[in-house]
Amino acid sequence: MALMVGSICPAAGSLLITQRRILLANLMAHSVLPGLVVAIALEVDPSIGGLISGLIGALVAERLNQRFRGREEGSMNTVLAGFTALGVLMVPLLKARIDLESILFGDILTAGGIDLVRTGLAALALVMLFTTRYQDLVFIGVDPEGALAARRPVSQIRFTAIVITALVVISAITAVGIVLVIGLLCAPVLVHVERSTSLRNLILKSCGTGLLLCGGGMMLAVLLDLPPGPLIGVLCMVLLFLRRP
Amino acid sequence: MPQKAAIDWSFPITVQQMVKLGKTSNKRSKEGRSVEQLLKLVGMAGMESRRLNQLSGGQQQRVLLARALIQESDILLLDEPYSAIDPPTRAHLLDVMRQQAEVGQTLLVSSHDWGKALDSYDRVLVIDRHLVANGTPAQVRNTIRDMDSVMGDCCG
Repeated sequence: MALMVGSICPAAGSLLITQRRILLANLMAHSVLPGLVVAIALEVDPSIGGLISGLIGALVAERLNQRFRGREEGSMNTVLAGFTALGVLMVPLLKARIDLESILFGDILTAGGIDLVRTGLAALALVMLFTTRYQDLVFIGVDPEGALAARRPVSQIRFTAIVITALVVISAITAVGIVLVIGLLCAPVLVHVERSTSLRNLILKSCGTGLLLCGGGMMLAVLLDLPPGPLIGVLCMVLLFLRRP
Repeated sequence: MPQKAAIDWSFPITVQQMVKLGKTSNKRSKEGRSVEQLLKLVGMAGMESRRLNQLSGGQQQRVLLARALIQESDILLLDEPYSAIDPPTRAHLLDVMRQQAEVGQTLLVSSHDWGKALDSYDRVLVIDRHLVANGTPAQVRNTIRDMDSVMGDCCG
């Protein structure tokens, strides 16, 4: 489970960082919380609630970005905080029986078969996006205006990427939680992005590093008797310092 | 051909891949010159595997021209092709564009700084909010000889 999360997060992160949409991904990671709480309270699959809530968060942010043009970072971070707060508030309001700490920081020991299926589906969706739309993803990343002018389906591809990002985030919750998933989306990509010669090359290298991070983090957590999610989060930061300039 | 500012030069992509993207932007493009031939034409031979952020401003502009040329379309729109480039690169780009015109391709070039290049074009339209002049370079010079603020040093 940890190894699967360790490979799909950096793969999605490669796309998000090269398209400069990582802040949106972090916002979505936090926006899934209210949906998760509602779904658990209603006793339906939490991934459905999380997916809907994450997409609503992204849409709200896009809407506010138009109102605060040039100050998008401020409005997006406010939405991020707002959705997280809403999720926390919903726990007592809906009297939901939820271990908030495990959602925020992960608890891989509670992972079951359904989590594995969810992660497998996210991985499949990512592979399909990369194999069917690779050239368009490169075009949108390097020249978004040119891709629009060439009538590439930019909006559809961006929306698909948003949905897949939400799926990846939900899959990673049991391993690292919604607060720490951003580290796995970013760190393995950042150490390779300057030296990769193609998006494909970046994805493969980042996945490899993510696998090592998660595998190593899990083993270290067992050895030191520490929670794996926060340990992987710290290792992500340490990794950035280890990269030679 | 877009303005340089529209491109994310830090994206992980090589010169060769960037030029090939031109084919993606025009699905109806005819089979024409290879990436290697076009890079040679714009003076970038041997730089196929370089990353975009390892190139100088002039080299980046040449890559954009090669990407436009690989489309093999009948009309090319070039937006500010001379921005932030050195005089030798400007002369080289102009030379390549002239060759394209001679083989029958129509080039529409927008620029706010014509400099000495004005005479390289068959027809010039000067726009300053509205159409100020329209004709051959000689006709345009005669029409707006006293409008230095619009034309800079081209009429000197």
